[in-house]
Amino acid sequence: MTRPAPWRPSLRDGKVLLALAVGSLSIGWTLNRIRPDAVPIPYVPRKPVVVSGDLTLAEFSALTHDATALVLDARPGIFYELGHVPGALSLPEEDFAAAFPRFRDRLESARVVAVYCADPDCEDARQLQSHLTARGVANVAVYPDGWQGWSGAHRPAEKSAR
Amino acid sequence: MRAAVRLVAPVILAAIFAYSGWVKLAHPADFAAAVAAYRLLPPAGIGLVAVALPVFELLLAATLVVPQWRQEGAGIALALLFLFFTATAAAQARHLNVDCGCFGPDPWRPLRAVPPLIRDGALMAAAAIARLAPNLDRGARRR
Repeated sequence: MTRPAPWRPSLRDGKVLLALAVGSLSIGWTLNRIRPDAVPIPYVPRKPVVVSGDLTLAEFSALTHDATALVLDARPGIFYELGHVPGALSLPEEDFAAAFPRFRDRLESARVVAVYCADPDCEDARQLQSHLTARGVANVAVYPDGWQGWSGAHRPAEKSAR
Repeated sequence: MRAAVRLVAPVILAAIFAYSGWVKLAHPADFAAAVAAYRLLPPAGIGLVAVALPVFELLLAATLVVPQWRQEGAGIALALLFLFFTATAAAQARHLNVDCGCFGPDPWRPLRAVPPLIRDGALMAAAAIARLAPNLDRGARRR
């Protein structure tokens, strides 16, 4: 029997795809029924970790893993390049007016915005929070311990250019 | 050399799909949130994708290492990667704040360093090689 040209979909492709689809739905559904951290079907978004006030390390850490949250580093860019929280974007408080338009779409689509700077004595995060709130961005929370608290807790760091 | 490429391409794809499926399976809530952030599916579709896609990727990885199913697996991988590529491009075109969700909440650094569209393009090329290369196991299958 001649095998069809490899670039053309064949009946065998369809059978394998069907088997994979049925198998993955069955296994996935069953696993989801028995696991404690099951995903609701239909999906219901998780409630925001926090919508006001300051963030604890655990809350901030959870937001760094949340695809609907935006983490902003308010320190001057040089410090961001030396090391920052994974996934954080650099928005130095001193550059806010010039940089804000670049962040507008991301800020509008984020469910929660978490801001940090160097340490508890640093004012940049609070000022950035004020700027963002004044521009109508909702759910902006500060992680007050900043980079010092994060790195002191031996959390992962990332180095990248702005 | 060609034979090595033909053999290595499906193995690399299988390793990446196995890793991707496993980390998604380990972090279901993060993956569901990542799917929701694309704003392409209704709530029921998000739940089903979040539940089934990780297992689908693991099973797909298995087909890529079984000689009898390798070519079909490569074709399905190519279609799936094209779907990922299109969804990511659509999200970027709409300026959505999307973490691609491809490799869980804390991806292996070398994977995270490559932009998702370039990564998908490279993986599509590997899938096309695995699909279009003459089947080295054809003789074995006929027996």
